[in-house]
Amino acid sequence: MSLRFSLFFLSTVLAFPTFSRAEISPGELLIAEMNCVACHEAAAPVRERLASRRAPHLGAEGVRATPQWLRAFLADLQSEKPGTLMPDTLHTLPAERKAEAIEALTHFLVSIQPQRQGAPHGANAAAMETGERLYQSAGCVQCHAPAELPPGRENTAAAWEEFERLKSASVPLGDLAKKFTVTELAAFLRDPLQSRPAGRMPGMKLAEREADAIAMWLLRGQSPGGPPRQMKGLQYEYYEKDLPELPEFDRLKPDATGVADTISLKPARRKDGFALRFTGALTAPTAGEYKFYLESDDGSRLFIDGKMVVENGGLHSKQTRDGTVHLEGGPHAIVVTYFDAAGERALAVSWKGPELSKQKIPASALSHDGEPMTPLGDAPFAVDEAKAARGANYFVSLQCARCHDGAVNAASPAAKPLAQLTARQPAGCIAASAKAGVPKFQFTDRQRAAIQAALSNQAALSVALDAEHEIRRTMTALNCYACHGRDRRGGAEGLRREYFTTAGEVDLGDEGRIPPSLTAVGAKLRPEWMHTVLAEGGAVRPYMAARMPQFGAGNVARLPALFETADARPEGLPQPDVFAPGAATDANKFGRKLVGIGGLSCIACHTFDGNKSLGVPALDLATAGQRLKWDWFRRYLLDPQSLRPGTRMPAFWPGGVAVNKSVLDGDAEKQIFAIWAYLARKNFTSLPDGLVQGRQELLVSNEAVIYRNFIDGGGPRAIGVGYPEKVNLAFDADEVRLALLWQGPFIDAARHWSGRGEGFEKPLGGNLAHSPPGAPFAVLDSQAAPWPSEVGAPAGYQFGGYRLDDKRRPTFLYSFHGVRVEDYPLGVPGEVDGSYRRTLTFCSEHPPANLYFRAAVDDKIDSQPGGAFLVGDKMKLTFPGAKPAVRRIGDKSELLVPVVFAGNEARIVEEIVW
Amino acid sequence: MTKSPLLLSAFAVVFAAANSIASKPSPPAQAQLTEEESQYYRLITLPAPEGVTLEAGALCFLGPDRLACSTRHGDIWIAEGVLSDPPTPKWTQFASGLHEVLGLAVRPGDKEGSIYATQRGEVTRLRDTNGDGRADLFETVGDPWGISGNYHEYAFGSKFDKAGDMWVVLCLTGSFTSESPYRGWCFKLSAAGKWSPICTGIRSPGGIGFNAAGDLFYTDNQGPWNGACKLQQIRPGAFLGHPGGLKWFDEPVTKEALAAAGLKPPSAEPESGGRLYVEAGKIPELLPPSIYFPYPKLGQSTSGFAFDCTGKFGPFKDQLFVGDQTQSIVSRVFLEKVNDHYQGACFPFRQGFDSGCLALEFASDASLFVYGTDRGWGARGGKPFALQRLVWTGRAPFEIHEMRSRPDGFEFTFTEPIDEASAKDTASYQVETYTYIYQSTYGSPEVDRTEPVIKSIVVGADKRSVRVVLDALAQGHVHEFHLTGVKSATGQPLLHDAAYYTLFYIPTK
Repeated sequence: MSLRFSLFFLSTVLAFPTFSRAEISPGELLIAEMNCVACHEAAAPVRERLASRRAPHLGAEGVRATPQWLRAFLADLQSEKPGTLMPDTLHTLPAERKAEAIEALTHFLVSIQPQRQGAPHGANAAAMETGERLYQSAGCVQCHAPAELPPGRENTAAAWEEFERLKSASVPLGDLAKKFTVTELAAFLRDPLQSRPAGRMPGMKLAEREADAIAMWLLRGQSPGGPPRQMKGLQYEYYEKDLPELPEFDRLKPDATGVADTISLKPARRKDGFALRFTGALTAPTAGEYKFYLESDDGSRLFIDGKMVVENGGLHSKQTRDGTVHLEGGPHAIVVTYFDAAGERALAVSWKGPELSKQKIPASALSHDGEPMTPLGDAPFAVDEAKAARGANYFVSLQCARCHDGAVNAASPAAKPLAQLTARQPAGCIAASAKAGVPKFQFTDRQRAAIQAALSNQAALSVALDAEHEIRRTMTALNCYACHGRDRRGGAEGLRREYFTTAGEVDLGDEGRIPPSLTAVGAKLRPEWMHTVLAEGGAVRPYMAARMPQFGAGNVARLPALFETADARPEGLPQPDVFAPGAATDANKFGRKLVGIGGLSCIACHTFDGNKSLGVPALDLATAGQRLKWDWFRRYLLDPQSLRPGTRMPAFWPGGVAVNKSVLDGDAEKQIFAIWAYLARKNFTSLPDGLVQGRQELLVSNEAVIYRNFIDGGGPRAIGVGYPEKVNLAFDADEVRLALLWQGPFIDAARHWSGRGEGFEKPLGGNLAHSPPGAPFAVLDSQAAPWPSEVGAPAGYQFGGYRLDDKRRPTFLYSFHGVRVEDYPLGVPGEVDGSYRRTLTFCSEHPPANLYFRAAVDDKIDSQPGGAFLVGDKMKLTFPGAKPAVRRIGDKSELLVPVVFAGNEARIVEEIVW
Repeated sequence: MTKSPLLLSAFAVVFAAANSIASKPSPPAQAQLTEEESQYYRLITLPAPEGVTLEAGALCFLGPDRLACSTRHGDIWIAEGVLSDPPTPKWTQFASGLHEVLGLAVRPGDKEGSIYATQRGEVTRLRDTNGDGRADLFETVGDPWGISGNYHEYAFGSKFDKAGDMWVVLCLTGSFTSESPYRGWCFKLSAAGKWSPICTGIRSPGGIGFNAAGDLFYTDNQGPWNGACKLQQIRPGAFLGHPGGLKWFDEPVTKEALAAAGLKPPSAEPESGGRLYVEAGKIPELLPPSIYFPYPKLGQSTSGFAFDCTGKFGPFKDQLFVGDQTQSIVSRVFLEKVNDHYQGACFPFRQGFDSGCLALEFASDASLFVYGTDRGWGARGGKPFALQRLVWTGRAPFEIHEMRSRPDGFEFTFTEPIDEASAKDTASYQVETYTYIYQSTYGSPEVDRTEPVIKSIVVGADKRSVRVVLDALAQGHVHEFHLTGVKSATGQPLLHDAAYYTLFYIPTK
């Protein structure tokens, strides 16, 4: 590994271009990164030019590292943290004295650190999975080593070879599992600048949950830990599913799991269509009667020790149900289930007990069993005051505080000023073997030579850098070049580039995943916006999985002005006054027209002021005025490829000629200015035409209406049919079965008839009734034979289309095992909503015996007077002329109708009222 | 663990080789080009039925003046009188409620008047059995492939070929993978009604059809494994470039059917990051594209295509006219066969269509119908949908007519006699070559650029052709020419001076 590092660094040094006077030499970069001026005093112009890297804070603002890690680190810096820039100051001490010093420094450093926070985290596989995904996609692997090949890269020997090369050219993480708890590492990840002000490790704009997940994954070596223990909070499972009722949770695969402090809807990730189950322990303070209140919209249930205490299931608006149970003092198993179908949502759990007034169940009463994650080698550690005091002395005498400010004051200077370091041979701390009292760095000979070369040209060190070179220094030191190219330097390449992905499935090509080039960015972005991006977390590319890191306001404060200077275009046009009389009116009239449908349809691809585009989610246009300079915007619109090579943005004024001739007489300059003037306004009181897509309900009048598309509950090949009797159905052509019935309005086509038509549309009406899953017809050898599980083509079914009658009502045609079926549902008018009378006609050359139609499967099917069957509580089925029978299989009832052939034909009439 | 020297990884990047994003200057200003083009090819816009969102869709002539238009909403509309000018078509709705019909065909000689519609999930035969003008029988002709509910999973159906077969190309599930059976595959429906898988390697088709010789092609769009949009021949058993669909050779649901059809996976899977012509040398099944449409110079979403076999559409008989959805343009393609491989050149032809061109179809009078939509994918034209007709005015533009590869260069022919002096001047030509990275990530920049030097120019005796001899040809490269200085005998410059030849094979004689 060491050889690779050194080769890596050497090769990069060698590749450095010829230096101009203002150019920064590799030696100078080393001097700045090593913070040489902390000991070797330098004049103000030199210090300013170097902008030396600041060392991490120790003490209250620092991180809390474990004593075992501190000890190991001080004993062998490069083993514990390969590549660290910290010099060894104990290298000439005799072994015994060195051990004593390390012990004393460890006690001292622990004594000034913040206290360990919180209880240990429980290992959570789902969180680790999330953590790994974030680590690979958010941008961490542009500096650090990835754990896996990039998504989509084939698993070949060549790929792994490249992967190994990439790993060896990454900033090592060291032995994190020894160093941190999950809580402490997560706190560091959320705000690395607090303890490491130099910004070399930037913040990644992580939410608390994300930082926890990454930390847990980075520390996965700590899991599994010891025996399960009681951990804070309840475990939850989260399911994204459109449900009519609380599901059988054990049959579903959760979309996410985690730990929640209290029972709430916080873990939900979308507004509608999800379910949650909380499990764990509830600690009752004393024995006695406890009353539980369950408030929810839609349904929920609460179980204590396996018994349902509160039933609040079903589809409903916010309502509270309660239940009482006697509890002994101490922990009891608690389960709370919840689902939301659509509309409003709510969940709250309260209790009242012998010594408790009615209140929400507090976090302190909830716990779960988990495997705690604790740092490797953790052992009880108490600070020994005497050792810590000796450690403080070492800290001063070893001059640690020269770099690590914020701990104790540094001793008086001992080293030669930088200007006097002009020896002809490497000496002092860059000598091949450092003497006692001199810090020992891990240099290669090439690095020594580079530093010496830089020191031999002292005059150059005090020349102020011009804007471009200061940009290069900053982009080098902060490794901006890992992701961004500028003037043919840097930018992600090779395998690393493949780790850039889009967030979700977004068809934007490389523009959707690769961070933008910074070539001439100062001529593109307004400095105010650059500041927002650099220091305030501003971002306009939600589709990009990589995040713009935050390097600390102080470390990047000069960049906006530097870019502005370096990229200045004297011939560029100034920002025009978009509020000038005339411009404002034109903006709203013509600019708006051009942006919208009927103009240039910019919104076909661009998000606009938070409103979804009609196609891909390209950059929100409404931010253009705040972000961009007019001069760039104009040049970009005239020739997109010239400023963003490879962009998918079409040229609407090819060769400077407007494609659209109808607005502003086809004058290109006037059109572009009108768009700018429109976009530069902050408040969009009138949105572009066509942006907001309304409902496109398919109305059914005197003929049936057919809609083949992705229908929720009907499959991707659903055939939706709306009947004039206000009943509707969806036939699943993939599974070859009538899948779904509903009443009232038919369907809204807006989802599929706008944009790209993504996703499944739900039936518009209500009172949904699902047909039994599986094949509708099967031969059963005996009354006890289970219904076959296969459906569609695997079950031998083939869809054959449909025939329309004079009212455009379909007769579905399909076949299975030599039996041809004609399936003809007819709407029957009702007082409000209608019902169905469905005729099934079977035809076969070789009629099978023991053929059945499975009309219903439910918990409960009751036979009623008059030959009807009540399925569940709401659906009534009648089969005139047939002899249906109910059988019980497992915990379900099945309603089977024998298909009896007369000659080659059989017929079943099914009346469905629900 | 051994000691590591100081790591200053950040420096690595700044010293690393510069990124090779070379930007080309934008094409010369072509002010008023549309105006000029319209002197030779005139656009007529047909009115859509009142209140109907007539988004392309597919086109199919049912008679000389009777055109069926399917829509993304799922309708099939029939227009009578589409050839009148000004256009006054009479519209009737033949069918509705279908699932994004992107293929329409009628079987020649079919007495029942059935229309075959390729929907997302199946091919359906529609018939009007009671003669009221509306389809009432919708028979599933076949549904051998799967769909999952992902909008990318489009299916494009061809017309019937001379053998009576119909062909369907299936888009992947998105850009990268195949999540439902046979996504990324081509199917054949034989005249006898039998379905067979044909080959895979498809990414995202934009159109399917035949050239004048009756061979089958489709267009595929820039994206993973496609450095630029392309026109691609389809051959049974070939591998067309994108490995997404190869998984079905191993999946239990399709494995046996593919083996029974006599299909085998390619001898190796392509390696990402190389060059297609190099990979094609290693993988015999990998069939190189016939034409690249350099992105974005000649298109950003290549779509439907058609050819004129009558010669009544101007001087370009038997050439292909290819649509582009993003740029609202139609390009022109000349194909020749070298080493039994179709390759050739594409040229700009006509710009300024109203919407994103998707389907192209020639009418009986050799006018070209172009059917467009910009929903979900923006288009330069700006209109949400359009049905337009391109009519030759009878005046032939001065254009490059054909471009053939030669062992040492290229031969151009022209639609008019040329001025010998300008044609012999090497300064009249600019030429460069480049290719694309064959890679699993999206698209590719132009790479491996070369600038061949013109060694000699020979003007043909008939003054209608020019042989340009270059010092070196680059196999696997697009050879981009700009004949900026070549004048006609009457002193006119070319209407379009650009030509892009995709040279996978260099002829030996």
